[in-house]
Amino acid sequence: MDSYETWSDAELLKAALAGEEDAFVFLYEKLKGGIFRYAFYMTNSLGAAEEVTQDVFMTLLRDGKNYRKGRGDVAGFAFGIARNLVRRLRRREYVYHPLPDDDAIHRLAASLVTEPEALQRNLIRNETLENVRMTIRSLPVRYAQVIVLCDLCEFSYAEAASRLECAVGTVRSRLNRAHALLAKKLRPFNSAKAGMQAAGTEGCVI
Amino acid sequence: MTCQQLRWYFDQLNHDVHELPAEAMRHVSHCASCRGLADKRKEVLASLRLLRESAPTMTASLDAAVLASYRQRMAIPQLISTGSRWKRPGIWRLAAAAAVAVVILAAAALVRRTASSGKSHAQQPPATEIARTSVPESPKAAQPGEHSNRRNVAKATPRRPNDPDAYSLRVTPPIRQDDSQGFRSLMYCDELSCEGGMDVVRVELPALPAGFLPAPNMPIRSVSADVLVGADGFARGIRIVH
Repeated sequence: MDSYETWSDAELLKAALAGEEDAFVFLYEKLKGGIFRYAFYMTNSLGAAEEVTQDVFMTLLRDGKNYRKGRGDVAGFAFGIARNLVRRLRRREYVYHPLPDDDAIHRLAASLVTEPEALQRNLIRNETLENVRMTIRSLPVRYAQVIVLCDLCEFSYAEAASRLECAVGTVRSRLNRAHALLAKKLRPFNSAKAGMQAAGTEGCVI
Repeated sequence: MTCQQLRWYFDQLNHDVHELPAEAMRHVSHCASCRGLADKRKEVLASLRLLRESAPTMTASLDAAVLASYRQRMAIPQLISTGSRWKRPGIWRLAAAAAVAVVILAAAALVRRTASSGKSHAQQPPATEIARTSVPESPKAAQPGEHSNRRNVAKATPRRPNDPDAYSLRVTPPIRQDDSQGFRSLMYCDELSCEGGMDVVRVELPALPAGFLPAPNMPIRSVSADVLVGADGFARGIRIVH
């Protein structure tokens, strides 16, 4: 598989379509992380993200022959498929939230006994995460996309511009606007969080 | 550094406030509005960092499922080619061209058929008119072989160019069931069962062409007969009246 390091994504895709399994696995390993993270942050659902990731590669195998090198790189092509799938999911609100399994409940119960201080910290952390997720989801799609790509998937501006098929300057301005919107929407949550932290465990009235 | 320059930094570079140059940090520590802006950015970036670090990892079952799907797909290449055949743009273009050609051919055939049927309709006058034109008022109208539709009528008309008034013809109303007695069928159309209305035409024929042999010492006489003419102008039956 080491020899594939020097191959371009287009060559890998061609080989994968010809039946070369190692080439497919290499391409999959290369692209899956970005696609999965994008799908997860855009849908807030692990199940939906996995479904999107699998569908992207199946679509890539089915429609990979339509790929033209001149119209962009393979990662951009795959990302375009992911974007369409996510858009379809968001339109249908087809998002499942898995219930916590037994292990998770046991871990939570154990943590209550062994480290009670951590409970509050974890609760605040989880709530913050949930708030940020929901706030990103509530943003217009064009702003949510740049935040997910640049801040969460850690793509460069150029890569994000290539995935979104727009100019680098557009990505910059959208990101700036997205940060401003996000800050505005997160302000009430942040002030509530600060109040909770200041109160400590004694401040809990329940 | 001015406030405007600091905002330009924020706009152009997605840097954390800690990564700002020392000059910018100095400005932030002195300027209250820029400090508020920087704090806001710091909060947002911290939240996003927290979210990034809490990203879930993909399950191993997904990798296995994708690989299994790939193997399954590659194991049946003929199915893939069959499924994608109609997705090739060339096939659709060819099919569209064939459909257009069929439509054009059908239209041409229809136009041609309509034109020919219109021509034949134009050439074929109504039955009553045929019967009238077969009246031997003018000998030319009774010429045999002038038109196939008139052939039977023409046969029934005598050739007496010198005495055109010797024969009479009249068109009677459509025949009733009891009036149909005594007719003999002249054509393939058996009895009087042909479709469409029929006209009864009274004609006078010279006895000799009609097959009646007069006595040698008697002059040539005429025979009156009713001829049934169908809607298509063909004579269907005949009845000798006198």
